[in-house]
Amino acid sequence: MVICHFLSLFEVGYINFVVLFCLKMSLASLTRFLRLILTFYSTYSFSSILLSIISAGIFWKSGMSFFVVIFWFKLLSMGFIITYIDQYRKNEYLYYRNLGLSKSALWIFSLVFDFILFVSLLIGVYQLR
Amino acid sequence: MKNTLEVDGVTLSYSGRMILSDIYLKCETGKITGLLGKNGQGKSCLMKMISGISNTGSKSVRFNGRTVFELTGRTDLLVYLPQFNFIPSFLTIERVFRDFCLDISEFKAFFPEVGSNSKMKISEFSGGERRLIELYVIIKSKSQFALLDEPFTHISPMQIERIKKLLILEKENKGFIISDHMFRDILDLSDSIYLLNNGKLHLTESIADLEILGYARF
Repeated sequence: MVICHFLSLFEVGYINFVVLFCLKMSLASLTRFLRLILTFYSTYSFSSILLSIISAGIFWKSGMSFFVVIFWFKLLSMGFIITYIDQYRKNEYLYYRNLGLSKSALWIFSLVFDFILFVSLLIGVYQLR
Repeated sequence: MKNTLEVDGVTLSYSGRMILSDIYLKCETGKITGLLGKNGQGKSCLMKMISGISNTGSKSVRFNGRTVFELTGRTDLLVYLPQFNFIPSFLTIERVFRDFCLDISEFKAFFPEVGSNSKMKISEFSGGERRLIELYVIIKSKSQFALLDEPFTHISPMQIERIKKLLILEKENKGFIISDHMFRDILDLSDSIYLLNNGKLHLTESIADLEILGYARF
């Protein structure tokens, strides 16, 4: 329960950060920014969402006792995905760079978005159990 | 408005070998600056350093006399066309033009054979067509300067001629630094030519200089 509360606070914090960030941008550039982040996220979203679903499945079966294992499983698998994209799709970073988005911005925003999906899924599963 | 890009103090060495030594380069709005050099002389390294993609070595980059330390996110100042394909292959031309805030009808008018397939994904185009799309969006992007690294690779001679016309039209709005091994096209286009040779950058006065420096025979 404490973990769920902490994670919810983290989500709220991130959403606040995104809202503040977005307020500084015009609507057109904000739409473009979000579109580009989602485009980048789409390059690895399939494997990442699949991993989140598998994690949620394990969490459903095993409960809170497996939370730490699931958390590290997700974290390590994300590490592999980052390494893969960095190795095989690195040329595409220049597309985003020529549109004003750095590599670190792409990863930070898309990974946090992915993490929120993962956490939301776990919270959903926890409440359903 | 006339903008100026100046790069100086560029120094780069790899395992004891001096690749670039105290380079100075200048480009202005309305000017095309050609960058020539034999293979392995560091043309691409220089472009990467100017664009901020490579942070090795030392350099000073100034826009209108003001030093800019970080070019990430400054697409208003500079865009860069690398040697390799950089547009994600799953995007359509329409989508790419929307991202770069460009009018696709102009592209269709310039290159109807490619532009008419605007709903096709980038991966469905040939290497030359793909290069053409990339080159076009960089040339037309809303930036003060554009660095083009081997822009004519894979592009047919007819299309190169049209690209050259486009560059001459677009140089009214921005400055270009172009590097390519098709030096006759570069000589045709450029207002000034620099030759990179043994780590030094030479501003050439005439074609004869290129011969003297051992780059080409005419």
